[in-house]
Amino acid sequence: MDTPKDKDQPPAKPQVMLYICGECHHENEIKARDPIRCRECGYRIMYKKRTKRMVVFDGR
Amino acid sequence: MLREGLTKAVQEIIPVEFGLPNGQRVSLSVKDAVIYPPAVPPSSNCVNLKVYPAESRERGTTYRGKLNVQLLWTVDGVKFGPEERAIGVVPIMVKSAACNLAGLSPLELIKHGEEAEEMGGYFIVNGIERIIRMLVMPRRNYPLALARPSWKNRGALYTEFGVSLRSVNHDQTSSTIVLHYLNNGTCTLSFTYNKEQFFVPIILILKALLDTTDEFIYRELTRGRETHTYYKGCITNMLRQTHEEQLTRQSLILRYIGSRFRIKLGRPSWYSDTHVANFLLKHCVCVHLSEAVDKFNLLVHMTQKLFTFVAGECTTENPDNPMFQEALLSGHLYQMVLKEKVESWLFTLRTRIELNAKNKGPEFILDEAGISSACRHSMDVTKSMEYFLATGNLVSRTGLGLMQVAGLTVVADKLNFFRYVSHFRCIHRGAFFAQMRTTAVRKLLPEAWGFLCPVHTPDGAPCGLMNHLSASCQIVNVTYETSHMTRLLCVMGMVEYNAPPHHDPQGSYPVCLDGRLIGWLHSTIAKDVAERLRILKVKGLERVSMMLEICFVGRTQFGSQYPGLYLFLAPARLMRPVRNLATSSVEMIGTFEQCYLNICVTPSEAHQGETTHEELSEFSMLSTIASLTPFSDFNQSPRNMYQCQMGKQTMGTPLHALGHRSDNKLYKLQTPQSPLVRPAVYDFYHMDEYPLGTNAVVAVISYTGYDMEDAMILNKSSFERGFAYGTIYKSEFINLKDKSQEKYRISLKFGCPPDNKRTLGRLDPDGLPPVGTYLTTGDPYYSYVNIQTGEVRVENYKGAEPAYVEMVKILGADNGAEQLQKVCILLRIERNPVIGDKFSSRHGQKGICSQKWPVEDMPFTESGMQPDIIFNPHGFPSRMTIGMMIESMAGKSSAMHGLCHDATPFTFSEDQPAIDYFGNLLTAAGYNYYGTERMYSGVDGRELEADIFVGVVYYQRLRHMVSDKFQVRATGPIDSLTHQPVKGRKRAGGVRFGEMERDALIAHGTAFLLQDRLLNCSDKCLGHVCSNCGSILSPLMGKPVMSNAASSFEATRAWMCSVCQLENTVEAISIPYVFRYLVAELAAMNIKVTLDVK
Amino acid sequence: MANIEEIRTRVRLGEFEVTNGHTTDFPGSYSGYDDAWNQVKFEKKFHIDVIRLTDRDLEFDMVGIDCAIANAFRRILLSEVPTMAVDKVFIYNNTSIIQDEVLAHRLGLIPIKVDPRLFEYRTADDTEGTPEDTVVLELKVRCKKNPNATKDTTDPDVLYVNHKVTTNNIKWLSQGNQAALFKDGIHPADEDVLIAKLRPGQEIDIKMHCVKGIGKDHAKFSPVATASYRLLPEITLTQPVEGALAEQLKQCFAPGVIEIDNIDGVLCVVSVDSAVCCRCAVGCVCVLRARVAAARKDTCSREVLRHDTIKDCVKLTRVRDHFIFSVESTGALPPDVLVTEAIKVLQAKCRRVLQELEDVDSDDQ
Repeated sequence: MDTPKDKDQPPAKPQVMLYICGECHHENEIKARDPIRCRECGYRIMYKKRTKRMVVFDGR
Repeated sequence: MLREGLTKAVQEIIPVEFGLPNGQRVSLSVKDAVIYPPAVPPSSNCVNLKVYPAESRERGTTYRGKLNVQLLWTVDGVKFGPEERAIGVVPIMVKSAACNLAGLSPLELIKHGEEAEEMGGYFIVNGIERIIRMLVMPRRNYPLALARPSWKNRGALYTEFGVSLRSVNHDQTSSTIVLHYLNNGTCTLSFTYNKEQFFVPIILILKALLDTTDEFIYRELTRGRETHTYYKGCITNMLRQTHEEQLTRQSLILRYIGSRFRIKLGRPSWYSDTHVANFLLKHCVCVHLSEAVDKFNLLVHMTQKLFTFVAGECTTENPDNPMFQEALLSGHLYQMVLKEKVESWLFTLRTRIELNAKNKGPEFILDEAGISSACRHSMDVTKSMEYFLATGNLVSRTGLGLMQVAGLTVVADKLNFFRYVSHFRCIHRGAFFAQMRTTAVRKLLPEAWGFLCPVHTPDGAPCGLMNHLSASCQIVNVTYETSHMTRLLCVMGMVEYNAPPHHDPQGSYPVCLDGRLIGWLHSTIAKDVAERLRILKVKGLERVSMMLEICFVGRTQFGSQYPGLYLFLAPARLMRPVRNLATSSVEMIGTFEQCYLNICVTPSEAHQGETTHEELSEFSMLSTIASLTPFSDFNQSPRNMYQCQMGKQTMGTPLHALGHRSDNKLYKLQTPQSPLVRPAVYDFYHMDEYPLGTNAVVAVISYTGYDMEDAMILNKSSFERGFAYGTIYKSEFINLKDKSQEKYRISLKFGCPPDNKRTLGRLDPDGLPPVGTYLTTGDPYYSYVNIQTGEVRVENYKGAEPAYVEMVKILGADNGAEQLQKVCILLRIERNPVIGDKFSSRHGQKGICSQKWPVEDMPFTESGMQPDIIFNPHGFPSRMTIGMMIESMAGKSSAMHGLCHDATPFTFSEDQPAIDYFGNLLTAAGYNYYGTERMYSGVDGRELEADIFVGVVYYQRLRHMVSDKFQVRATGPIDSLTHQPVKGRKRAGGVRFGEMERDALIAHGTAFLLQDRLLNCSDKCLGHVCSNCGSILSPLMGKPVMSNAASSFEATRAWMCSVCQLENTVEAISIPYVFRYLVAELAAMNIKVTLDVK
Repeated sequence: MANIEEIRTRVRLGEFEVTNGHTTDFPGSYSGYDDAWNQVKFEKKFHIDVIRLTDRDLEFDMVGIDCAIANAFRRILLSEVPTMAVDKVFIYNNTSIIQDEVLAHRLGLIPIKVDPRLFEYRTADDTEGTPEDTVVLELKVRCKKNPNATKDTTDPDVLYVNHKVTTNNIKWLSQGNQAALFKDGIHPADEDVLIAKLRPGQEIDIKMHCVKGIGKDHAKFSPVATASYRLLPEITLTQPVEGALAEQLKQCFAPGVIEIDNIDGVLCVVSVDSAVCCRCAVGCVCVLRARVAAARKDTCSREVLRHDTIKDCVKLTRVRDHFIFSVESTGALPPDVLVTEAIKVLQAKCRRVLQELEDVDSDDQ
């Protein structure tokens, strides 16, 4: 069975955290202590991008 | 509204005048004010500087714009300015003219993170939508004859009779004056200034208003009442009294009034007494009128009304009657509050200038620089406006003529469309009335017909106080031009008010337009003029506004209302459309005029020659919510009330722009459906955009025994296939600034080293959970790092229920330069139906799910259908919700024929019964005429003997769920003082076993259970008592024996009574810990408790 | 005697109720009847007639059996015949609008066309699964903009590629020797069942484990959309119904239940159809009489009993031991196989009871 093995393992380094701008949907890379603003439009709210990561659900 | 009102309001502000130590006389005033749309500072380098409401919601900030005023100041009569000054940022109503959403199309609204049909009308304060709720106010500018027993306590000779007038200035600020009748036949006028009440004889005010002769006043007062000798005597007497005081001329009286009110009114020292008196007349007496003559006329009218009222020739008017009421609109209140805040800003400016002047001494000279520096240092209005909207508490100097200072704003809860929309249609009588013991204010009066919904009011404490406007009712929110009305009426035959009295006043009606007397109409033509005016109004001719309220009160044989022609065009009145039969077009009518109109509901009710108007629809009296109850005309009326309540607690589709909001809690139904049976207005309101229920096959049968007492049974398979699945969305803001010890410096940042042992890689390097994470109690939730020490702190997920991370939003600051301190995590909690969840049909038939019954055990019909829900037949006889039965039949037939049935109330009649209509449809589909079906028992397979009523009913899932309510405790936290279990679900506390429960156990003789509950499971403890002296305080543990101190355990040490000095008398007993506490408390009061130990 | 015979064999339908609904098919209910169970008698009486059989639907009559047994088949069909269904959903990525757990629930309810008899039940503590008890499916879709789309179109079908996720997108990942065993592959029973909708940039990346289970555990394992039976209706005309009443009677039943015959003996010249009156202006001698043509089609609406004019002309009854079964398969197995499986389940249960009884007996000794 090819059950995924990466379940509880930290993703490989160096990991880039990507955030999507709430206004222009541009993907921004923001490091800790960077100012929070979109590089494209200067918007102030960003959403964390969903990354590939396995979650198990019961189909019921 | 704010566009024009704001300018008016700030211009109305009384200039702040004061003297400086150097003798300069300073006057500060405001010429104009502007509110700018919300924007971020240009320094933030954004492509789009505009701030939209969605951003405020997401970031948990206030949606606000800059407020600038044009400051004018005068020093020793020399004018300066105007100069524009920023005095703060104020919250802005969404979709108002100052909002960035104003005038956007649905497509653009969606682009900006709003609903397609965003209505606006609320404020966003700290990310929460709040609305200023409508309050009932006395009708403006109409003198009301009242009899209030409490008025007798206002002083000697005072009676309960009075005429009260709430006059409203054109900037919406109001003041109430009352004309009191005194037992000696005189009248005093009472008014308030800065929450203080004053009484002045009416003649004094009348004489101060006009420079005229006593004879003129006498003539004016007795006009039309020349034959009443008592009345004439009273007037003469009052006039004589002023002469006794030597107050003969206007100038004398003004000086007299001025000298007495000088301190209270707080005018600057250089004002003359006359000046002060004029100020008083302008700002305290009939503020809605600017001309002294008009004030004089109105006061004369009020005096006449008062004497007529006292003589019993006109009746008392009920202030609880919607006829004499209007609404306090949110814009009007906002404007009043803002005006006062600007006013207090001027005051702080003055204090600042005075402070500067005091510091610098007499050489201080006020110049432009002085004003600027004072402006810089004076407090702005930002905080106080936000406080007002965020809490609903009014901090006011004058009180704004309101009877309450709290609860003025409420959260616009977006639970579902019903609840949301009802916030905007709700009108409250005032918090003051909730405390009243009498129920008279709660009564639904016939005058409310068509304006307030008779169905949609909560039961319980706010019943009748919180009402909802009917669906068609509007509130006038535009100020109309009235100047042309006098001329128009004169053309129609009116005589000007102060024209020489050549006509016969006894046979004339006074004409009053918005509290200003404009003329007389002769009784022969008065009715005719009113009718002609109505035609002009309906047809929109002669610039007569369609919002004009024409109330012609004719003379009657016995005293009724005070006669006259009253015209109202002022804003804040309740108006509703009806059909005018004369022109067969739609006319807007007000609450007052409705009482003098003859309106039929259906054409068959019309009486030839009498009926003038017709309702637009039979259900026009219902509110938006009430009109959405299907077949409500078949139900017992309280059931419709319950549905109005329950509809507002239903899980449904709260909104579509879920990602652009951060509401605290949102309930969402996973698979909502459009109801098969719905009233016509359902489509009118586009309710399909926000559906809130599911069509369920309901069998009315007592089947399992688990459906007693309003319980209902859910089909397990229906549930497993997704019936009534729901989700809760929770937003949590995490602000590191709140967690940091340091106030002015950023000391914490989000982050998580990947090798952290606590998180095991379950958090991303940014310290936040990845999107889609499954969280259970105690899982790592987020983590942050102290910048200085590098210490990592991991916070755990504290919620009791497992949740999924739906979204993680990182939030920046306005200027776009700050680093990450605030995030918002949107969590998703599954709430699929479980036993104990609440459901209801749309007919006030709520029930708790008591079992999920396996499908093979459910009864099945001839065609093999199994019901989704089993409803107990005992729910019907006493509740009489016939509407639900008809809905069931209609739902079944619509499912069979593939159409949606209209369930508008009042469409069926005795001649065309609904049962017959739907029965025939069912027969056509091969079903039984009565909606019943043959059923087989699912358990043993036999045919059930009785016919079972099966149909399709739209079911709502209510937000009350056991998961939020269950409380269980075996052991847990105890109170430190009493050692008894604590209470409260949140603290894992117990449920109180109270006195009455104790009585029940005693009555049953269950002593063991009683001891178990009250002692063993509560605060049982081991105590020691001395059997010699009976005290439980005196036994102490003996001193350890020194020789083997190390090995002396407590058990080996002996107890000894410290009073008796005896060891063998101490006995161990089990007692409640509180008892010990009680004994100790009593000992502190020198009371000894002795136990009789045997 | 005739009355007792009716009570024994018929259920009587009234306007608002039924009488004689209960079973009396046991010895000693009536004197003069030998109701003791008898293999020969049973075999003679019992028969099953298949009325209609398609790949999803089956209608058959089961005659000569007690309702308890018939009901047992119905119950077993609903809840105890096993099928395979998606039970564990491994979501690697899901950026669509539909929430993870809702998507998992939807996937669970999709009927999978695979013979459950070839699989074992997975043990309770097993999370990995083996090729003997698990079918692995994959759903991997990513939506893109259609580069060839015309500019002015608003039709999502043209604008986007892969914007509808359906059962067609579900791929089977063969485990072990499954590929050899299932030559035709394993796939959902229906094509084009909409699972989710996507917009450009969104993707779904999921692996699923299908396991064997029964409907009692979860509705998704139930092999039938529904399985139920009804008793055979019987309509007796107690007196001849003629003329307008016949037409009224016909209207009271579903189409085809009542037919009208022209029984005057003389064939109508004008009308070809014997049931239609010629309506000759004068001297028409047509006598139209109602006849029960197909009582089976009756829906038991009992509309006829509402009409005073004809309610006494008919007697509505049902045959107590004649069950009209209808079985709708969800697609995993053909309906006839399902019924056989249900019978096997019942047999197994009976065997178990016998075994238990034997064990009890042997314990006693």
